[in-house]
Amino acid sequence: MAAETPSWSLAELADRAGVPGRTIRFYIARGLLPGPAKPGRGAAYGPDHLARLREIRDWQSRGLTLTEVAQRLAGPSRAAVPLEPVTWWQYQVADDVTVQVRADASPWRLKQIKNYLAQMATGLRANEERKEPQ
Amino acid sequence: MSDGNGGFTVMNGETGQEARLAMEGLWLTGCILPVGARLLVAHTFRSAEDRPLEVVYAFGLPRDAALRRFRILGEGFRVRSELKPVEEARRQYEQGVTEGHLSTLARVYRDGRVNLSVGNIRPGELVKVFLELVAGVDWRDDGLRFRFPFTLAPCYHRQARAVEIEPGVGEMELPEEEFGDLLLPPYMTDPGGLHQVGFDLSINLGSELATVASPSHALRFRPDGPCGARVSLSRERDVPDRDLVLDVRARAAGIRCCGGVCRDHRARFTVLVPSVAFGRTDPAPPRSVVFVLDRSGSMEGTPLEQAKKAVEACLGAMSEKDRMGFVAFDNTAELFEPALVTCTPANRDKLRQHLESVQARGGTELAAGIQAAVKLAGAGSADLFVITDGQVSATEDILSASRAAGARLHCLGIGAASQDRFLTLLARETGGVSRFVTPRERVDTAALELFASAGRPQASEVKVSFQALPGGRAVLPPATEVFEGHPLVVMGEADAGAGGALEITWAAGRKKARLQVAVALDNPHDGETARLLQGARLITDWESRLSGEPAGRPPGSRFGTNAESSPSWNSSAATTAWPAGPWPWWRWSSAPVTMPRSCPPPAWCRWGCRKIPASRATSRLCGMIRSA
Repeated sequence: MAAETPSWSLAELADRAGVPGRTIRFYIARGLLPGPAKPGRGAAYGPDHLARLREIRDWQSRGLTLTEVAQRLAGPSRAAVPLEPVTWWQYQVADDVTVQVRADASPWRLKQIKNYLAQMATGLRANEERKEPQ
Repeated sequence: MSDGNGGFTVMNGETGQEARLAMEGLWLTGCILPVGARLLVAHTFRSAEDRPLEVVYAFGLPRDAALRRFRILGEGFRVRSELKPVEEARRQYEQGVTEGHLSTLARVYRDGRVNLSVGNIRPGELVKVFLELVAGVDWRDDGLRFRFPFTLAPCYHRQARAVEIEPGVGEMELPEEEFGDLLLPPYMTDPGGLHQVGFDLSINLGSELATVASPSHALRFRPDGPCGARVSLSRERDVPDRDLVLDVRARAAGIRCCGGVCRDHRARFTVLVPSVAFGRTDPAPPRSVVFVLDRSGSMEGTPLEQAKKAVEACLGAMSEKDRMGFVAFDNTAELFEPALVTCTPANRDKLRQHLESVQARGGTELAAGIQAAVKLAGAGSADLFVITDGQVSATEDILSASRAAGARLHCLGIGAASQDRFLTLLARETGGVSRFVTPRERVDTAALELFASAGRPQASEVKVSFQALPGGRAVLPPATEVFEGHPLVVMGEADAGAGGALEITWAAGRKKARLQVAVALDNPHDGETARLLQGARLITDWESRLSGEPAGRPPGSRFGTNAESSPSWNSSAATTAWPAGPWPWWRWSSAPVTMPRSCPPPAWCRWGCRKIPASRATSRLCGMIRSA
């Protein structure tokens, strides 16, 4: 199936799949569908795109949302495989407090969590200092 | 309520970098006239991406509204839209996007939902889209109530797929067979960081203005002559978490006429005759009313409390000779008693107790609630008092079921995002009247005012004669009953000339009463406004009788002179002649909207939503919203 070279324009792909062009671009942007084989004005699509579009439609018709379809397409569901090892970072926020954070969280999320942990640590320390003089 | 500084920021899902919102603001301007509103909605889009951007914004139409046309303004270009059949407009848009031009497409879908797509916004470019709308208003004897939806509430549909993709962010997809390629926005529980909204509207009531107030927004008011004013948002910016509502009152309730000769040399007019002109029919006969209460998940919190208060207020207004019934519905309808009961103090107490036990849950099967109420009321003319937020999809199907049921529906819209367009249609199409209350208003006053209409028209067998108006005829059939506080509205056309008079007759007890109303056709601008509003009404009414996707729908020409407005089988499209390519690839973004203020945060969860654990797949969403 993949042997054929991609040669359709977006409009041709849209016609063949019966899916509006805007929707196809939406799918590509959401990572449901690979981008065109050739970028730029001469963007070309092939049977692989068509097959994938049909797959997406099939999943949708079975009641899956696009987000769920995206997860299926990304590979076997991580959430559904309980035995997969997960790495966690452990942060000691105070002498008596530790917090665990999933190591594979995205960089922006880790940055955000660390920020809150720092706030928490400061808050706890301030509390300690207020108590001590009493 | 966040002011936009904290809470959420938009992150680019691929790079993890903070991105700017593609849609920055929505600014509503225009003029509110006694017969309706002519509006211009400005959307500002700006791309902070390094590649061409395609943005889709979804919004809902106000009541009796039609999208007329739009204009796009950018650096070095200015383009006007063209109205075309859907397929043609879509082809033009797609071609424009592929060839690298800035392309825009506005399309109306079912339930009056609109997708505005703007493709190929170049890096750093600022693009403004000005949408021109005509919209109806909620007429009162002494003025009007204007409502503009700043938010698009998620609406229940039994086949909708809804997910919470992360805390506070939900997505909803509607079945394609019915809604085509309509894209709904991501729903946010926190409005901070979304596009800003504002408004600056002029008001001209044609008679001396008494007050302009808003239960939804803080206003800056500037008088403009005795009959006019300008109102704008009193603060610099606001978040789109509730609809704009304006109450405009005149000093006195009088007959109002807007009319004039249009460009096609025919005159159009709208006449409003206040209900007080029809006198009073006393004594009030006993009546049978069935309360239909929406207890679906989206009513949780303030809306359900308000709805219960509304029923209680009405119970107090019933006499012992009246008969009542009560239906609460979500996915199914539940009856208080299997038959109508008389309003004895004991029965009222029993219903009050029953009311306390009503809790919000499940979906919104409004048609099931209405059918159960009609069955309960039995044959004959039943009056249903429907209290709902109207957050339902496929409203055309509910409308057709309600028309067939043969009952008169009076609708009280509840909540910050009650679907005014739909509830207005539901009441009007079944011969009733509607009102809505916002979360900050007293619900009992509105409920009682509306309840006064249930089962008691102030005038019936109303007929309008055009004999004294040369070439006169009704463009829309006027109502045959008039209810307290709601004027009789006559929308018509006539030969160009000096005008004439309408003769209105109705049954007053056993006798016939008569009233002559002068029709002046001296203001071309008024005539044009009347024509546009008539077109919008025709389209809205006609659309409410259709369902499903537009395959096989009539072409726009059906409405002859009104074909310049956009029904769902037509779209407006525009492309620049700007040779912009060749582009490597584009990014895609949809402008998120927030959950309306009165909605319980994850309303979609109660409609059978699934929670999806975060994974790499979700983080690839373009323009995804992350809490910062």
